[in-house]
Amino acid sequence: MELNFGRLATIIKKEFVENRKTLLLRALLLIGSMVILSQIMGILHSNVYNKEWEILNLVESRDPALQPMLVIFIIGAFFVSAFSASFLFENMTSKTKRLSTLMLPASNAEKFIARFTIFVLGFFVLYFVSCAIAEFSRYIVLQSIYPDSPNVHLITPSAIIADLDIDFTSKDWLWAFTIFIGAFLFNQSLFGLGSAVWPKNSFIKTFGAIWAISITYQLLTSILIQLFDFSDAHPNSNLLLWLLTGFLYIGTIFNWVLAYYRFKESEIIQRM
Amino acid sequence: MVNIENITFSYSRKKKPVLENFSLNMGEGKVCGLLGKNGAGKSTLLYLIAGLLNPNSGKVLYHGIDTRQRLPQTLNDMFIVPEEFDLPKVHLMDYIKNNSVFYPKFSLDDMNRYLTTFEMDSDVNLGQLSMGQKKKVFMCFALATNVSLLLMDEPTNGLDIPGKSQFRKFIASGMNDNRCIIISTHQVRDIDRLLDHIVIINDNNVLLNADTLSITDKLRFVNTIDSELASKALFAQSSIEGHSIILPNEDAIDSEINLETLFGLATEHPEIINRLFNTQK
Repeated sequence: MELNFGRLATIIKKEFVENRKTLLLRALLLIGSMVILSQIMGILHSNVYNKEWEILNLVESRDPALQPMLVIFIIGAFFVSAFSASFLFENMTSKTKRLSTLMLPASNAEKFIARFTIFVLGFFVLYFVSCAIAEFSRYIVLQSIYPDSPNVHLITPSAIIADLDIDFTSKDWLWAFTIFIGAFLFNQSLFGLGSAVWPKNSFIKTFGAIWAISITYQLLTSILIQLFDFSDAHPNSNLLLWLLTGFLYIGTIFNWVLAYYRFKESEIIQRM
Repeated sequence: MVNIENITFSYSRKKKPVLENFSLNMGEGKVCGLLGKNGAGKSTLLYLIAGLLNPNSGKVLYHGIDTRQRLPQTLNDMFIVPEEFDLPKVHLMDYIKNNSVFYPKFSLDDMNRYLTTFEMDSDVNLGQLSMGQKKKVFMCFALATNVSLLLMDEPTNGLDIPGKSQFRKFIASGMNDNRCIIISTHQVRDIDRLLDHIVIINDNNVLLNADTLSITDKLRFVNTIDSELASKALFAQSSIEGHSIILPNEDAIDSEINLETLFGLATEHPEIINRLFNTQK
């Protein structure tokens, strides 16, 4: 696997310059959506910012929209990361695009990593920036509407940690965090692999495939439960956690490796 | 330079192979015309040479390296100008800046010279050009990369009337002893005077693989109204002006190759071509 970092940087720069309008439009769309969602959260909690404060003299040390905002940011991260990963191979959607990509004098690894950097790693940067802009906009708007309210607070990472009241040394928290990150990465890698298999309309096709597999899995599980008696089974919860974690992380690596090999074996004409 | 070794390729398992046990060698310093009927596998062959398709068996070697590996050192020394292509909607200078870095022998002076040949301006946005203009710009870039192997699929399609004569001048000015240009086309009149070497393929066979000098040494191309002479020809094609015929060149008389007539002889009487040029299947 040949990897030249100078050439890799050149490919990334070329991708940005030649697709700047599309990338900028998508970035603005994401930022705009996050800003709208954060403003909606502000409107939904408006009673706490003004009325209840005046009537009940209610003073909150943290913003009442903190938890709903956090839920939105987490769900958004799952959804948008999958959406972004499904653009990974949009440069392979047509014969002419495949020709431009495949004939570029760089190794397959460099071409793959360049796209991965933009649509997977770049996504994280863009998403955090979008969340920060959305939260600042919510804070500024609420400050201007309710200048005297003591309940308008800027949601910062330290405020989130304080609100969640996490014991970072607890084993349960560590398991939950590890599985959460694993699930996030696995979900993203599934859509990356989906993009390698179906470069056109990748998000919808991958979503459909995941849905079909999930339904099949649930059906099979329910049939197995009816066929066999599992009432005496006492699974080792620790073992199950290890298995789940292993599945998520190894599955993530497997998906990305498979996506790379799928790209490496690509041809200008998709043969049957 | 390019060695095609026993390639078999089919687009699906059920279909007949486009190429089967196909072999061909091409050397440096030549403009090679790749001719064949529709579906003969000309574009497929170009894609196989460029490593854009994976043969079912056999391999294509470029300077001894299998092109299917698509290694940077192979890709930066070859360029393909397909019949249809995508150009980003950016300023030409941005395009040159972002793409020329991948080609170590790229020359901006050559690029400007080729643009001048096509009467094109370098201060243009690629998104605002017509298809023919885009093709001119893309071909200029391709030649300015100074790669050793340039593959062109129907390069004159979409070019205007002056563009076709400019194209001949353009290829002639960009040719040198270290370079091989393979042109696949049906528009034989656009390129007939450019070619140093002719390859005609049909039904999986190389009907003719010879340089133009050896062709004119052995064959004489004549336009005549003499029907008696036409009846004695190896091959004759009637036209409004009379007959385009091919005679054995027994008296060593120089003539200009008529590609259409030569193609007719090769496809209709491959045994004559085989006897004269000892073409191997």
